[in-house]
Amino acid sequence: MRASSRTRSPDARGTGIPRLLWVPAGLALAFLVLPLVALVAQVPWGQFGQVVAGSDVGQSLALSLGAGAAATGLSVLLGVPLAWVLARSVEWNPILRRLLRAFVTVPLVLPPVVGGIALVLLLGRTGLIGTFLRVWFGIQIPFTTPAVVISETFVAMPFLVLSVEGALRGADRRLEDAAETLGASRWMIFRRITLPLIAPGVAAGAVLSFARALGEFGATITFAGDFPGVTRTMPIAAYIALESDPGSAYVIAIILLAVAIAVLFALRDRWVGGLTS
Amino acid sequence: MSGLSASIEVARPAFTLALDLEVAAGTITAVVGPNGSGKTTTLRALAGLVRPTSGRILLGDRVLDDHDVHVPARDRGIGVVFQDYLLFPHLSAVENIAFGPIAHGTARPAAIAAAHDWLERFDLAQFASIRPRELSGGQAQRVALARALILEPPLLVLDEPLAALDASTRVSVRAQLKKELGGYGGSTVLVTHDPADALALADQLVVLEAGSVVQHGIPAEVAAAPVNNYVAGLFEH
Repeated sequence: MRASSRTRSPDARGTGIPRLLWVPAGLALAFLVLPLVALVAQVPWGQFGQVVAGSDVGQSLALSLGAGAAATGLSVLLGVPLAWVLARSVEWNPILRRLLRAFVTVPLVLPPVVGGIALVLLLGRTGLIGTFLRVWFGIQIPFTTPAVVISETFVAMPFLVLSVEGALRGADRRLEDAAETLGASRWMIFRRITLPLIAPGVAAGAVLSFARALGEFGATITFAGDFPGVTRTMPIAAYIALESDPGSAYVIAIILLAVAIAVLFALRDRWVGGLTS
Repeated sequence: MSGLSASIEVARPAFTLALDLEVAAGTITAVVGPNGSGKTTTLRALAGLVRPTSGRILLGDRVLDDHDVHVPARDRGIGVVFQDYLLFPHLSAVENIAFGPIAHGTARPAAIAAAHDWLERFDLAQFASIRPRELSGGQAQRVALARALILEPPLLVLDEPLAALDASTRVSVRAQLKKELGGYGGSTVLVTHDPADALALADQLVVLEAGSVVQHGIPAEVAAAPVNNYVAGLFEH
């Protein structure tokens, strides 16, 4: 679809867009682009290196990258098998399937703060599981770096699952039959055939998850709080710095913007154009 | 006795497939029929990818399917050449052929070496490191055949092995396939909708219509005395 729309020559009817629509369309574009222009224009580029090297920003950058990578790793580790179940549940009860899919999709549309509150109620000091973790093992999760990773995984994993599920649906299952007739065990088919076939989908999902994890704010501040060096990720640091030290807030913002652009670039073929290829 | 002795029944939504196949070692039986006549189901049942509703599949003195027996596809040791060949797109030609031996526990270097031997036998030595999408239809078919034969299966089944080819290469690839199958000592079942392929390759013909055998015998006999219009139509070209 993408290729055809790119190569199709403009037809004789022109675009067919009523003139009146150009105005709101232009406004909409300006609405999306101008804030970014303002950001780029106002970043204190002269202090850029200094701010990044400074302990506060450097610390949240390292924390963000580390926690984001951990959340992405966790999403891949748990999300690929879940995507598998979802993609192969075709013969299950349709109600069960829809329910399963809804559970996977909820974090995508849920306000992150709600996710954070839900995590507190599950893993907090007096939470459903948190109570036992505290009483039996002396483990407390809230306000720790693992809490950051958990919050980010909660919001990021659906991207991975849906991306991998799409890739699995697109993969030719007859190749698994072929491998089976050659004597391959299920595990070998998974490792040597299916996984390599869906690798682009896994990669796309991982990049999206990482981007989502890196930008996570609401669930993290609710469940993990704001402790410099422990839970203060870049988005939180930017928000906090906006009052005391706007320059470093701008620098953090521009780094996050750069990451977002890099993600778009990495996914230009896989996600923006669909996962069919 | 060596060879295939099968009596297969598979209930499908539209019809029940029921056929008997006796294929001696070293011979080729073609199952011919229109689309939806149950050809591919026959093949999948032989390969162990579909469990027959009832019936019995014997290979030599080994029971593959019976009331209480179902040997799964991975343990059957049957060679399958699928329609469209289904080469693994992310593996090179030689890795495709070595897949079976590796799955059976052969060390990778030995499996690759054996795969190279098969490539040479099939005049494909220069394509060893080529990915399937860069192979021509005829080359892909030979890689698929080598991938199946490297395991020395007592039974080889081929699903429309020539359907993916264009008319210009079909005849030469068919001749080559005949030559390659000539060197194979096991039983071969060939599924095709094209009577020309069946006549050129097979020792025995089984004509399937809506899941049932309407005629079987050696190709010349079937051609000489077709039992109905469909069978007669097969040999008009």
